[in-house]
Formats: sequence, structure tokens, C-alpha cells
Amino acid sequence: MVLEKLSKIVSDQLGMEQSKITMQTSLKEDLLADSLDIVEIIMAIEEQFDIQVDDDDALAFKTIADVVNYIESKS
Amino acid sequence: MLVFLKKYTDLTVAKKAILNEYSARSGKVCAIEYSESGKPYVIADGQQCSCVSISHTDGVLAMAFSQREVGVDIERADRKIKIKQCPDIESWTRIEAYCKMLGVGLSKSMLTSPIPDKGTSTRRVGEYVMSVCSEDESVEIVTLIDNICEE
Repeated sequence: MVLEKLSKIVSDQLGMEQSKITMQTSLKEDLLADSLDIVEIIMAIEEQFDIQVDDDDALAFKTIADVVNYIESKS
Repeated sequence: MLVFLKKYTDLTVAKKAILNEYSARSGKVCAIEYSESGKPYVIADGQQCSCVSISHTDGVLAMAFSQREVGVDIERADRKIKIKQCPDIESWTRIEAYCKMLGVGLSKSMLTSPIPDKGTSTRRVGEYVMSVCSEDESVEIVTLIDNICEE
């Protein structure tokens, strides 16, 4: 469920197919997300999941799995 | 401070071309290395010889060289931004350039940090907007390559 909602956010932000976003997907290498994309994705995550994403934690996100695990830990 | 702009299809080739241009101007054989935090710097003869910042978007590469800390960000001028703290893409480039100069990752808290007016300049370059932030307050020289027009 978290992966599905997260992949929708990422897909909407980057204009890519949701089905191509998996747990192993790398935010920078695979998605080619730049800093603005990542900040906007994080803000969308905060709104969607009603959580606050800590700045230091966000800087450590490398893959979709990192983000999913983080969201689940906050829920 | 020198800022080079180049259109590219191959980013690695474009970086090398700009570095060669900078090497020719500086009279040294320069290379770029990265610190542990990922911040680039220029070395020549095994020693750091200047600071550099790199930004690319949509087929345009910007590289800013200075003897002092420097940050650069370039974006398409028509890029929409969905961040409340940032009214427009120009504001974003200023924040990003400032963060790069400081060598810190861009975070939500940086969105509300005051950006120094002194040492930060923003300009429209054709279809793009670019900001440069530097401790080097000398006159900036923008070298145009491949006919990217400065407005």
C-alpha cells in the first residue's frame, strides 16, 4: 500500500510509468530526480501520509525502499 | 569567477570540454575530484587549485569556477514549482546555488534560510534561469559557448 501510494507520487512528479518504480529503484541513478524533484516528492509524501520527514533522514534516501521503510516507521 | 555554459548530449564529454577550456585559461592541467560529501573541487599538480560548482538541466551544463567557495544552479525558466516557500523558479535557483556554495544538502529548512544578496546573482540565459552564489564578490564573467543567449 505504501509502495503503491509512493510510486504514484513519484510517477506524477517525474512523468514516468508507475509500474517501473520498484523497491530497488534508485532515486538519482534510475529516476534521474534532481534536488527540486526530491524536495517536491518529500512534501507530497508529508501531505499524503500525514508525517513530517526529517531533513537529515531525507538526505539519506537513496532508493524507493529507503523511503517506504521510513514512511512505515513513521506511521 | 568564471561561469561556463554548454549545451550537451553527452554530459561527460561536455564537462571535459569545459574543463579543458578552463585549463587553457588557467595555464594548468586541471581535473575535478570530489570530497567525501560529494562536493567537487578542481585539482592541478596534485593540489586543489580552485573551487567549482556544477549544475545541469535539460541539455545545458553550467560550471562555475572561483578561487573562493561557489555554487551554481541552472533550471528551465518555464519549470513550474510546487513549493510554498519558493514563489518561483528563480528563488529556487538562488537557494540551490547557496546550498551548493555551502556544501550542504538542500533540505526543507534551507528553503526558509535567508540567502545573502551580496554575492548572489540571478540571470535569465535564453530559455533558462541561472543563479550563482559566491564568496567571490568580484565581477563575474560569463563565457557563452554554443550560442546560448544571455538576456
